[in-house]
Amino acid sequence: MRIEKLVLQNYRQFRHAELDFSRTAGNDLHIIRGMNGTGKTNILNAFNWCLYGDEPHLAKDSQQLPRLNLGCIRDSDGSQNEEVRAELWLKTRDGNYLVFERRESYRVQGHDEHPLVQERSFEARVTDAKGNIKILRDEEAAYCAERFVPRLMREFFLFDGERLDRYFKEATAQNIRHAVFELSQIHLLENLEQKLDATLKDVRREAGKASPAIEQSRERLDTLENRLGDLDTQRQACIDQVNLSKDKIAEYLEMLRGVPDVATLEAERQGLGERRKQKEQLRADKAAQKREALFQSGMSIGVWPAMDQILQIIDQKREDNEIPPTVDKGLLDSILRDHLCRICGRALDEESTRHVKQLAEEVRLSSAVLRELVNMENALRLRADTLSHFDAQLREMTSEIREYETELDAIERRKNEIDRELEGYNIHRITEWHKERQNFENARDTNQRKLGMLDAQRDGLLVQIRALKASLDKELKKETKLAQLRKEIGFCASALEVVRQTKHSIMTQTRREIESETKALFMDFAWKKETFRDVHIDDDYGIHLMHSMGYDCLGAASAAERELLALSFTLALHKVSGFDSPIVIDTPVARVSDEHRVNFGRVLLEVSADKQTVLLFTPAEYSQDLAGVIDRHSSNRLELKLSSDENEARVEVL
Amino acid sequence: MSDTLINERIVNGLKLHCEGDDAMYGFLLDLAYREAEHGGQWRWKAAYRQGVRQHSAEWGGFDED
Repeated sequence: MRIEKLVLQNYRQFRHAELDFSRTAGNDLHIIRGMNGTGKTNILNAFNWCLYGDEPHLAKDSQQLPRLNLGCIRDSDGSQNEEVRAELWLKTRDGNYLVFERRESYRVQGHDEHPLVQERSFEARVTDAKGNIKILRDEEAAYCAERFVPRLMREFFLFDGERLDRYFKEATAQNIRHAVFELSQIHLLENLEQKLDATLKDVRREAGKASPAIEQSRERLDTLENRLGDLDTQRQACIDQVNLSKDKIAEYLEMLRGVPDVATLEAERQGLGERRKQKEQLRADKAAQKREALFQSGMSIGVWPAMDQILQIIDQKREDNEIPPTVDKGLLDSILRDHLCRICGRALDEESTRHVKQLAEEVRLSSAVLRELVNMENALRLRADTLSHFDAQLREMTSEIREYETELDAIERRKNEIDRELEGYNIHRITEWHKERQNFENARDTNQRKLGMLDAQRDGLLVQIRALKASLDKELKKETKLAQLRKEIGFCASALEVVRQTKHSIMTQTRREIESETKALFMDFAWKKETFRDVHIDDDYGIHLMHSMGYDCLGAASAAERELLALSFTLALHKVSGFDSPIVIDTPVARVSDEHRVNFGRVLLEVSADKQTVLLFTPAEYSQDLAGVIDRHSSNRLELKLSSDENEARVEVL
Repeated sequence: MSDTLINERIVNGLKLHCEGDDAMYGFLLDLAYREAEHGGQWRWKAAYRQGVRQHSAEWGGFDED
């Protein structure tokens, strides 16, 4: 199905506009260029309003404005209703025309007031190949629009290019699961499941009225099944949280790629500061110890010759047996002076006097002096010993001080390195990113643990439910009058099981098909084909872009590569869904860096070879290089221009 | 453009998992179409209950013991 044209009357900036989307060139590519405010996004809104009656991409300033064109309000004299109209002309593959037309008529009361809606209408005109026209209105027309693009899936056909950038950055798993749900109409099966479950409970309740035993089992079963439902809700919330945390961790890792680990470096710098203080203190203590040793030993060194001589005298006296002293010279002198023995009291005779004199001459030092020498000997020897080791001690202390200085130098060098590494970075913001990443890692771990506990509880609960169902069935069998109800319960439970199995198998099958298509398209489109090996969507709907080296590189992919993956995924959804509708993208390369815009342009060109593609660019996006690649292949190039009073946009063909 | 209200996968999936149980398949397909047709609020309780009553009567996949 193709869009042939879009006709707007009094719709927002467009007083009257007709946008032609005929295929006139090799590619079904249609370029609409316009400055901000000229109504590009409102073209996207016009498609939505015409088909579904709402405007999901309305900018904040447009939300304050009426849908009816401001110029029309200004020119209206209020005598008749003014009308907003959007017409979307489509052509099916079998040559039928389908025209959707939505109208709203307004009564304009005053130029400054919002006009009031008087009437609304929506119709679809189907013209077959023979020229027969069938007109469908309101609900029937809405049903027809659903067959063009289902409302719930329109975000994959009519979207803002920014969405491509966000798609694999925010809640990826939820996005993919949502897409699979919408694509497979899983909501329909969920409705069936919920209502069958409620019906089963009703039938059991009916049976419960027949016997207290049945009622007791039923009540218990209801309680356990409700608990199982709660557990499943909690499990899903946990899985969502784990996936969200994984996405966020990948996002922060991407932001922190090539950025120093500020928190660790800051902690290291702080640690280095503390170590420096300790080492400086140790160096100061050692230097003081060395100074004290030098001071103490310096005095000893000055008197060393005298000390050495005294020790030599002591050694000599010891050799001469004068030490320890055996004779008191003072006593001998006193005996000779008084000629009286101080020991026995006898007067000295001549021989005794001579003998004492001889003794006194032999004793050259007094015993007091000798005792003094004996007393000082130990101290002198200790000091002499100390002095003999002083040189070694001094060298050791000097070496220790040098070691401290070397360590302090190393600390200073590392601090300087850290300072250089952190230079130019916003340390506060990076620290916050690290903290956030850590928080998400903690959240992921906590939820994974919780999930494990919930799984164990769920397994236990399922065993109890199975036992209780068997017990309920046994009770039902006892009551023969309840045979029909028992059969209805069995039928309803089996139907519920079929719906659940169908739901699970469809989701798995759809996920695998999307995975396979996404991979094929991405590998075909990718400009760095050697870099990537695989695209994988896991059971929890997480998407993984596998590098040729074997690791998941989605987090490290450039914005252009990520958008390319999102575009491949979107086109895979189109193919798997069977809805062969056009794709309309507002600002498709706004987030793509200049170097990749041309590559992305080539991909969009390739897409438009088989699928009608409408692209709305700002002039800044639509660079000369990009235009050089796609201009000559495009079927239509239109430009939106605003009137001088900015109330009206007109469409010019380029 | 899709010609049917229900995704073909659902129709095939239900058939596959009913494993030849025609009463069950007929019942579920009927309900699936009703869900697709109504979309919003509808008096589903009576329809589901009636469907169970009617289709279970001709249902063979039941242990009568």
